[in-house]
Amino acid sequence: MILSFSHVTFSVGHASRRRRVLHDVSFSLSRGEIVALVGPSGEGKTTVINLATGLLTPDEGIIDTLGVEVSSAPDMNVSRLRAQRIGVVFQSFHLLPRESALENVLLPAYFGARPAYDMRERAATLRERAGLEGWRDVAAIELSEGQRQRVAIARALLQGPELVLADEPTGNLDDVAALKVLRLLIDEVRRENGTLLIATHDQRCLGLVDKTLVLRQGRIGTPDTPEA
Amino acid sequence: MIFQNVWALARKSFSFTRTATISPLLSVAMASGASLLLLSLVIGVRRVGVGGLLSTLPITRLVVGPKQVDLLFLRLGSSTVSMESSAIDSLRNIDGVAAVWPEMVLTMPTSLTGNLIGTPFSTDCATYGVPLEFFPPEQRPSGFSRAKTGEPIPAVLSLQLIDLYNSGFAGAQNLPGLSPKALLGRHFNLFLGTSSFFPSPPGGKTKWVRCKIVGLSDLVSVTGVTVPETYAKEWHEWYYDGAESPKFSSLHVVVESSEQVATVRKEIEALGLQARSPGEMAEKVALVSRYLSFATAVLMGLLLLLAGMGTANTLGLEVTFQAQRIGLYRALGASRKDVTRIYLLRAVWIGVSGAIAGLIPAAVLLLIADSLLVRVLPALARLPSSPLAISPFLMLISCVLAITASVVAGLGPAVKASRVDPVVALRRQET
Repeated sequence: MILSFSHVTFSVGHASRRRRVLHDVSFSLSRGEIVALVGPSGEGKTTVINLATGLLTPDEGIIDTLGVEVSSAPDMNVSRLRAQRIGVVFQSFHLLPRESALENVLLPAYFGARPAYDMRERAATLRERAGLEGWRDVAAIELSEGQRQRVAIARALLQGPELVLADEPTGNLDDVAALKVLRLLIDEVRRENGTLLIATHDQRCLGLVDKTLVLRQGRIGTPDTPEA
Repeated sequence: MIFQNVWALARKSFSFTRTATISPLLSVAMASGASLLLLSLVIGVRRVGVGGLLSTLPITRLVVGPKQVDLLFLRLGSSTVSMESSAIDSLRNIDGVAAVWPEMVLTMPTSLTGNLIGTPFSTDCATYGVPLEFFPPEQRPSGFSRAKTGEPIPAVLSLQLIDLYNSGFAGAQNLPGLSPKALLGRHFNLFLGTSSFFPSPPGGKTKWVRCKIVGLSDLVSVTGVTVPETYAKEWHEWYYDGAESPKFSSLHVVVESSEQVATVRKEIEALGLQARSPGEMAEKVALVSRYLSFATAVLMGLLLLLAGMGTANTLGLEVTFQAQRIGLYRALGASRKDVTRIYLLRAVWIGVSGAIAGLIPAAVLLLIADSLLVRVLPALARLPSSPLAISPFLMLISCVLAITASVVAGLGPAVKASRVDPVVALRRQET
């Protein structure tokens, strides 16, 4: 099992303003699966991604990511897991604006166990595969939004992660760019033999994935049983 | 994270905040430079004043003389007043007194002639006689004993006399300075019974003796020549035909231990005499030096505090402004410890760069100041060739202090950076 949520509950806010975002969520992803987590905005898709990466801790339940119980493991172990075995694509790209596309792709290498410089060749290859070969020294801020998301995808794949988590990767893109980015992401994850969980409200991705999970009112279901 | 990557990220964050880095760099540079200047000055003063004076004078020795009024560095009273030999017995009876070595003064007029750097000179002087034991064992001049017939009489001059000559007379007369080494072995003639102020009356007794300088000491009187006691007694006897008892300008009391000095001093003063330590002046210098050291420590502390505050302030602001970058680092795999290391390393970088930037001009300034001081200061016999203490060790201390201040100041921001919540920080950018 690559990722499993078991009876996970998560709330935000404090005291009387506390609001439950996830209710007893359970699901799992097997190796090589490409899974879409769909649902309306504000239903907790980003929370699921953050819980899976260990950036958030659930109120209850167990989250197992790549064999590490991220909900209770020490910060060092979870950080190492994120650095070496998980790739993350954010909706807002989160690139370093003044650095080049190559430097941005290379960024996760700094958190690994080897000198970041050793990964420059792979970073360049991924950048080219993302269709950015002519944008070597251009600062990220000067790229179009579609190009920025391509850089973010290349960055997520740099360390050859076993699990890629994409949070609304097409959220800020127009239709044409969104489809291209989705195809790039799925193709590249398949090429790297990875597992992908895409949190999205974009219905176009349903035809491209192996499995779809629906998140509605903080509960997980399938497209056939949306009120599960 | 391996160190190479931590360092690369620490450097990466500088390049975007060059302007913000200048302010803490300057304050650390000023702190390290000022630390070096102050340390060199204080240690220089201590070395010249305390090391040069205090360390050479035995603290268990008291110089007893007739009562005089002391006004800090100024001594009021008659230096011609002398004591009878009965005072020696009174002092020997005091508990804690190990020995009393009298400094006999010849009450007849005396003068000397000699040849100083090719120039003949003549001057009135006082003549004293002391036993060899008058000098502490480690300071005893060799050859200070009765000479063989026909050989010159051994004499000791005051080191302070050389200082006075070098700092005043030599400069005024455009004469070269004297070093103690150059004076050793030189000869002069000592005239007994006559001087320019008190020439010998017709038929009065006069004679001259050949003397040789065998030593220089802080313990002997500054106003004259000191010879072995046996000669002084003989000359006194010869001049007065036994009609006058010997007189003593001072009596040197050796106290058994430093703890007893205060008690012995009180008892001496109860006898109507005055006791002072030969190291009194040096002790005053030491006191001033201690105040100076304290003031320096306070000033250095303030400068380092200011440098630290500058570093802490800049790094704190950077952490606030770079929260999203830190959040991204955390989301991509940096642990809290890694983030702490990145910002601490940045503080180290500011400390090292600032310290080096401050030390170089400070060292140049010190060298210039030192060479100027050598020219300006009088050529005192005990003054080292370099009045300011300039050493790689002091540079290292200043450097370490500045880096420590910077690192300590960087601890707060580094911990603050490690506590940045990546989820909140990344969400902030989206909004």
